[in-house]
Amino acid sequence: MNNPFQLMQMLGNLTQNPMQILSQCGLNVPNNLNNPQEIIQHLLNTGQISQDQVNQAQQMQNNPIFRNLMK
Amino acid sequence: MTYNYPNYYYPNQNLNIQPQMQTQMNQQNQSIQSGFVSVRNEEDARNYPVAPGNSITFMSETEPYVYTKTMGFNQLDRPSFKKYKLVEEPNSVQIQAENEKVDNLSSEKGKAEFDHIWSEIDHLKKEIKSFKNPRPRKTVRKEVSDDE
Repeated sequence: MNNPFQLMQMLGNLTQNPMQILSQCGLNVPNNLNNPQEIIQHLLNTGQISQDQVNQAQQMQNNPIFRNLMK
Repeated sequence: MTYNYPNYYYPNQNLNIQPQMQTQMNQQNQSIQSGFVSVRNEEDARNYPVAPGNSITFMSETEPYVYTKTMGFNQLDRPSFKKYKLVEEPNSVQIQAENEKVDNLSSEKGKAEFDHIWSEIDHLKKEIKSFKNPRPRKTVRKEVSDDE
């Protein structure tokens, strides 16, 4: 996990095939949801993730280092 | 008499660590809940996913606005969205200076200034009236002879 290359690979997989990563994490998402916001809202509504986790993810997204990695 | 017991592993020794970790995690969660979620604009705040029965406060990164999005416990309810504008509160020195200004206006000096302004207004009124009813001008006709 400390290897930046591994982290980049994980981020690449997440952006390319998010549904696969979600299922690997044990999260159930209907196939008709493609919008990331709809997916997160579904996960919140079904109690699969908490509001704190969403907020933490948002904080990570706002981090300039993370933004550079996602470019 | 000494007993040479081997060093056994006591699993209960680690029990003290877990509550500490839990309290740290709880503190982290509380700090996130009480803080603002920073967003780029109003649209980001409107689209931000909120769990049923939760309310999130957003701080705009680009504009002086704060937004709140509240979701009802029923998932079919529409979320309520509120927008608040941040207005700078003047400090106590500025407020005092403004109050002094008002006091000056109500004082005798202020009255004299008012009288001066009223006299100027009267003067302007008279000038406007004179523009409305101009004096008839005498037209001077110049006769031009054909020779010139």
